[in-house]
Parts: sequence; C-alpha cells; structure tokens
Amino acid sequence: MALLTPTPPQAVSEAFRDGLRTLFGELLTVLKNLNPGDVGAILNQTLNKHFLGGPPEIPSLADLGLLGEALLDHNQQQVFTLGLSDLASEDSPRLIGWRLFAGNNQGKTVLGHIIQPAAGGWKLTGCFYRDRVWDVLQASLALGSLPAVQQGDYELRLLTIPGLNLEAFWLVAKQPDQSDLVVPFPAAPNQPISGLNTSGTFTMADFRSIVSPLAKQRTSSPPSHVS
Amino acid sequence: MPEFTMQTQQEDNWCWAAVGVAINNFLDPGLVPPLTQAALANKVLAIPGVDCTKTPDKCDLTAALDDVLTVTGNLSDDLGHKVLDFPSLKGQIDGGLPVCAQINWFDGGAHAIALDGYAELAAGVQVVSVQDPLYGPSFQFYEDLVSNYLGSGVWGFTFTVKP
Repeated sequence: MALLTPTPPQAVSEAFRDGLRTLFGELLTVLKNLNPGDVGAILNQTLNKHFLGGPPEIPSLADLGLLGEALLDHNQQQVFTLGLSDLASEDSPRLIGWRLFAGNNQGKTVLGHIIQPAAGGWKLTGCFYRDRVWDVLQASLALGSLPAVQQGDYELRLLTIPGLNLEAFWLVAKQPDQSDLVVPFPAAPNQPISGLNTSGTFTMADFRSIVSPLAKQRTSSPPSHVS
Repeated sequence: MPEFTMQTQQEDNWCWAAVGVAINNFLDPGLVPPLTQAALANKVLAIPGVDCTKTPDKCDLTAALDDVLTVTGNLSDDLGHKVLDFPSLKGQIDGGLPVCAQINWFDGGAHAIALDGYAELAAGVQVVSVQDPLYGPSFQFYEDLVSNYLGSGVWGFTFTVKP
C-alpha cells in the first residue's frame, strides 16, 4: 500500500531544468557574482535589473543541483484545477500542468510550475521560493503516513481552485471500493476556509459539498473585487 | 531604500488588505501605529457595528483594489484593463515604486499581487519579481505573468502607486 507519484514526461523535467537554469542560474550569477566566467561576461553586458530594497535572497545553484548534470527535482505533482463554474456544474478537475520541487533544505527549496502552451511543448512559467514552498513540501511528504494510505494505493495529484484561494492534495483511489480523498493545504486547524477545518482529510464528495456553496458566493462578487 | 515586504493575507479573502498594507508600509514608513490588515479592513469595508480588529472573520470579504489604495492614499493611477508593458514596468520599479496587479482567474474570481522587481536576462528573457500574499514570493517570466499566472489566470487590472 502506497502513495503513487506519476513520473512526468521527460520534456516536463527538461523544461523545469532549463527554466531554472535561466531564472536562477543567470540571475544568481549576476546578482551575487558567483562563477561569472564567460556567462557572466555576457550577462554583464545585457542584464538590466532592479529590485526594490535590493536583490532577494534566493537558493544557490548548488542548492538546486544546477551545478551538476542531475537536477535535484523531486515530488513531481500533476496539477488539476476546478473553476468556480466547474464546482456548480459538478464537472471533473482538468489537468493544467505539473509542479516540481528542487532543493532539499529549508529556505533553499523552490517550486516551479510547468504548463503546456498552446504552441506545444512544456514551459516553466515561474518559480516560488521561501517558507511556503518548504511548508508545502513537508505537507506533501507527510501524506505517506496517512492511515488511508497505509491501507490502500492512492495516486497523488494537486487540486487547485484558484477562485477560492484553495490548494489541496487529491489522492485518487486505485481500488474500486475506495473513495478519492482530499487533504487541503494548509490542513486543519490552519485552513482559512472554516468549513475545511473540521478534519484533515475529506472524501471528494464531502469536499465538494463544502466548497461548492462558497463558489456560488464568489461568483456573485463584482469582477473588480479581489480575494 | 527599504525592502518591500509583502504580508501573508490574514483572512481567506484579504489579499487586498495584505497588498494595501504592504504598499502603505513601504511608501509611507513611520506611520504610528503602523497600518494593519484589520485596521485597513475597517476603513475599506466600514461595516456598521463590526470591528474587524476584534472579529476579523466577520470582515472576511472581497474588495476592490482601487478602493483599498484610495483609502491608504497610495493610488496613483487606475489603469483599468491595461497591462503594463515591460518598459513601463521597469519605469515604475526604477522610480522606486512597486506595481499592483489584479490576477483574473480563468474561471472566476480574482487575486491581488504586487510586482517589486525585474531583470532582463540573456537573449532578452524578461523576468518579474512577484510578491503574492497567498503563494509567497516568486520569479515569473513576464510573458507568463501576463497570460498564465500559475497556469490559472491572466494579469487583468493594473494600479500604479504613489507615496
């Protein structure tokens, strides 16, 4: 019995590695004058940068495994989404891409989002860093010790409901007699949506019954309103 | 120049409060007492008989970012649906000013973020430093920030700020 984590297509991993090298390799090389070499000489001519209050502290190339051939990517997760109208119409979540972690230490781990553009291929759109990334990784790693996972096989996915500011781990049951499970992040008692603070784990049916009314409320908000 | 520090939104719907306080603290430092998200919620929402500093859950509501920045006195221009092109974004940052953006999720709902830096890398790659009160700090490729933030939304509205 285990938590199954699908391996992304090689093109996804390559997009992550290449994107990270662009973001953190080139950026870090110039911001901190690390190993400038020939690349640095080129960048010094072309790079134009400005960060309010100074450059942010970001993980090093070594932290992310970008100095060697093997990128330290791990905990790859397929990302599915539900829109507000999807919840009302009881549509199924749609696959929108992958997210991958790189780095293995607190403050030195990043989380990248990979999408498939209309033109084809895969692309890193951006990379998050600092405390929340570490918290998400720890929550992800803890899923393997859930009692349900000890008793059955589940496939790990990420479920996002952007319109509700909600992310949750979606554990897809691999046995027909089991239900899909949803573990919100952050979990109870720190989940901002109070209805999801009653438990750490929900069946998909219970989860949707809690969030669907919220989606109806949010749909009625003026388009200029943010949350 | 002080560091621009985004706050984590303290209520589920308070991205606007976190962004408003972060902008105000950065542009108008030294305010005594410093503006808090709950205090800002009181001013923006003005719910009769409700004190958001004592019962913030009763104030966990959406709000318009232009209203928020007007209340803090930091709204320079409401550019509406106009997305800043990269040179214009650079101009704001070079002038010491963060930029507020509204992300419109593809299928309903919206979210406020602030942009506090940029870099132009080799081969003309354009990168933006994003401060998100929910998802934390990140680097985003400019073209994806405009059209595919988190694979789930587009840059929908723009608000420039002033001290």
